Amino acid sequence: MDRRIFLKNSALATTVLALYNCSPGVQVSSGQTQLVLEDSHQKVLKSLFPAILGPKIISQSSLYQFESFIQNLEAAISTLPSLTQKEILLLFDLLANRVSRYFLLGLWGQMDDYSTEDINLALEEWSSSSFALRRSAYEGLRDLVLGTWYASPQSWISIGYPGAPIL
Amino acid sequence: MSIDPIGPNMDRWFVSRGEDFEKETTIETDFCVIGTGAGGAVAAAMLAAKGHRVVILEEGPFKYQKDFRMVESEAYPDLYQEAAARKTKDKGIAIFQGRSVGGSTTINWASSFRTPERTLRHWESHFGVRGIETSTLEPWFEKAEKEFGISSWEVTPNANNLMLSRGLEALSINWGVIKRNVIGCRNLGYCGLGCPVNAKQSTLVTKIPEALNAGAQLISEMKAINFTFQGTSIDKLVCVPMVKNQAKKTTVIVKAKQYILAAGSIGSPAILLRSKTPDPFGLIGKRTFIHPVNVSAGLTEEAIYANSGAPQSIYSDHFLERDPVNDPIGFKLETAPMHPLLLSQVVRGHGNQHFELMSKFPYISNMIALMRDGFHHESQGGEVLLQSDGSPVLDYKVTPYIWQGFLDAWLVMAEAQFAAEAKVVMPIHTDTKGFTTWSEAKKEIPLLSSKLFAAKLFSAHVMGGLPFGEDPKKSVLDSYGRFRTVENLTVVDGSMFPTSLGANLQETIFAFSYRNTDALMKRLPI
Repeated sequence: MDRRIFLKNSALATTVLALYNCSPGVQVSSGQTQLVLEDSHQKVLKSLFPAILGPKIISQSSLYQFESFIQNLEAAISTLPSLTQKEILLLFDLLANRVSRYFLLGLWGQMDDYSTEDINLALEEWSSSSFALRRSAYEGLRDLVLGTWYASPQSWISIGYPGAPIL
Repeated sequence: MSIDPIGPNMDRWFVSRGEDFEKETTIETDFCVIGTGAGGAVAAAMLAAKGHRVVILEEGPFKYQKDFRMVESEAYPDLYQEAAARKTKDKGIAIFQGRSVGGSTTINWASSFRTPERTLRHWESHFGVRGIETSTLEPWFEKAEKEFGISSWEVTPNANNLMLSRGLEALSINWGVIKRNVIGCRNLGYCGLGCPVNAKQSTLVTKIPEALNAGAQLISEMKAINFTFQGTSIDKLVCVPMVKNQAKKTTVIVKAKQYILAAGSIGSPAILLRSKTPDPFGLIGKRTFIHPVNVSAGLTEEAIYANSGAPQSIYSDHFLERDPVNDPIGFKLETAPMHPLLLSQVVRGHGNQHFELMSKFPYISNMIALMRDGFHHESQGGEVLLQSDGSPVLDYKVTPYIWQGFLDAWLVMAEAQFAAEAKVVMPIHTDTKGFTTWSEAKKEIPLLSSKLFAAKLFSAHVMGGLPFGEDPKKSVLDSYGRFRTVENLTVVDGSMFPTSLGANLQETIFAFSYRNTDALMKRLPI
C-alpha cells in the first residue's frame, strides 16, 4: 500500500500508532543498500534534531551540519533489518504528516514556527506519555538520532572521549 | 602483537561467502554445523578432528583482526545481530548478540564462569537433566579452560571495576575476580568491538581455525532458513546466501547425515519454527531467558574512563547465593564498558539534559545487575516468535517479580557506589536525575516506576528455548542435546538450558558443546 494513501485513510491517529508497532504495509525497495530519505522526512527531522541533540551541541556549528548528519542517519538506518527500516520510515511519515504529528508531538503548526525550546518541551511531553506506543516511538527516534550523533568522531571531543588507543 | 591465525591461512582453507553462490547449489556432507559461536565452533572442531566431512554455516560475515578497528559504527553492523539494535517485541529490552564468525565469543567481554552448582542441581531436580553431576562435568570444564586460555586476571582491574570491588568491600559484601579467556591481553577495553590483537581466545581465533586446518568447510554470510523432513529425519537444510545483509535470490541446499544446531537462542528456535518441526508439547522457543540487566551510573571526581581496560574483572555472586534459588530473584553484579554510542543509548532523555551527562563521559562509572530468570513461576521467560518476513523476535515481559529484583539491585548498587565515593548515583531510569546522598537514594529508589521504557534495560545473554532433560513434556532435547522428535539433529548452544545460568554463558556453552558432541560421536556408527 502507498504510504500516503495509508495515512489519508487512517481515520484515527490511534489506528496509525497501533499499526506502527505491527508490521506496516509500507514498502522499502528491496536490494537497496543506501537509503535516501525523502524531502518531507528531511524537513521535519531538520527541526527535530536540534531539540533531540540539544542546543549546546547545535550551537557549536562546526561540529553539527545537517547535511552530513542526515547522511550519517541514512547510513545508520541502512544497516538495520528491513522490518526495522520500514518501522522507522513509517515513524518519519507520521512525523511529516500534520495530523499524526499532532498526536505524537502535540504540535499542530508548521515545524518552522516553533523554537527549539518549544520542540524540546513537546519531546518531553511525548517521552512521558501515558500511552506505551507513543513512548515507544519517542524512544525509537531518540535512540536513532543520539546513536548516530555519538557514533561520529566529531562528537567525541565535546564529551571527553579520547577515541580508541593507537596500537 | 600476537600471531594472526587467520589471514595467512585464508588461501589454503576451504572458505567461501554468500556472494560466491550465484545459482542454486547443493552441498553434501557428513555433518552440517549451523553457527560458529561457543557451541557450533567447538562441535565443528571436534568432528573435523575425527576426519568427518564438516560444513560450517555462519549467518554473519567473516571478519577478523584486520577488520577490528575499535570503532562502534563499524563493529555494530558487522558483528552484532540487527546492528546491535535488536530489541524485545515491545522494545523494552535491548539485546546484544553476536553475528559474525565466532558468534558472541567475537564480541563478548571475555568473562568466564563454570555453571553455578545451584543451577545444575535445579536442572536435575526440576527438569530431570541427567549426566550433570559435578564430577561428570569437571573434565569438560577443565578442557574448556585449557583450550580457551581461561585463567585468573592478574592485572589490576580498571577504575570502573575497582569502584565495584571498593564499594562492596566497604559494605562487607563478597566479591571476586573474574576469569578471562585471554592470552597476551593488552588491557585495551575494546573486547566488545572485536579483539584487535587476537588476545581474546574467541572461537574465531581458536576452534574455527582448528576446524578449518582439519579440512572443514566454512561458509559465512549464509543464512539457514529451514529444514525439510523425510519421515523423522531431516532431509535437507535450505539456506539463502547474503550479500551486505541482503538476501540473494537463490538458495543453497545442504544435505548432511547429521545436523548440529548452534544458531543462538533466538536463531536456533527460529529455524525450527520456520521448519514446522514436530513439537507435540509446543515447547520450541518458549522459556527463553535473558538475564535482564539494569544499570546504575556513579559520577566520580577522579576520571574513570570506563572505555579503557578489561571491561569486566570484578563480580559478586552474593545476591545469587544469599537467598533460596527462586525467591526473591537473585542477581549477579558486574560492570560494563562504555563507549560513546553505547552510552548515548543508556543515558535517558534528550537535548541539553542528555548532553550534560554525556559530557561527563570520563567520570561515569557503572554497575550492572544480571537477574537470574527462570527459577520462579513468575519468571517463565520469553517466547521466540516469527514476524511477517520470517525473522524472529523475542517477546519478553518484565514481571513484578523481576522488577522487584531491579529495585533491590539499584539499592545495592547505589549504596556500593556511594561507599566507593561516587558523588552522584543515578539509576538509569527516567524518574530520577540522580542522588547525592545514600539516604535520598534509599528513600526514592523503591518508588521508581516500572512502566515500559522508564528504565533502560539490557540483555547480553540469551539462552533457553530448546530445553534439555528427560521429561518429554518439559524438554525437546534429551539430556545430551539430541532432538527428541528428529533423528539426526543435535543442539549444542545455549538454547538447551532449561533456565538461565546466573553466570556469563560462554564457558558453560563450551563445556556442554564438548559433552553433547562427544555423546553424539559415541552413539554414531561412523
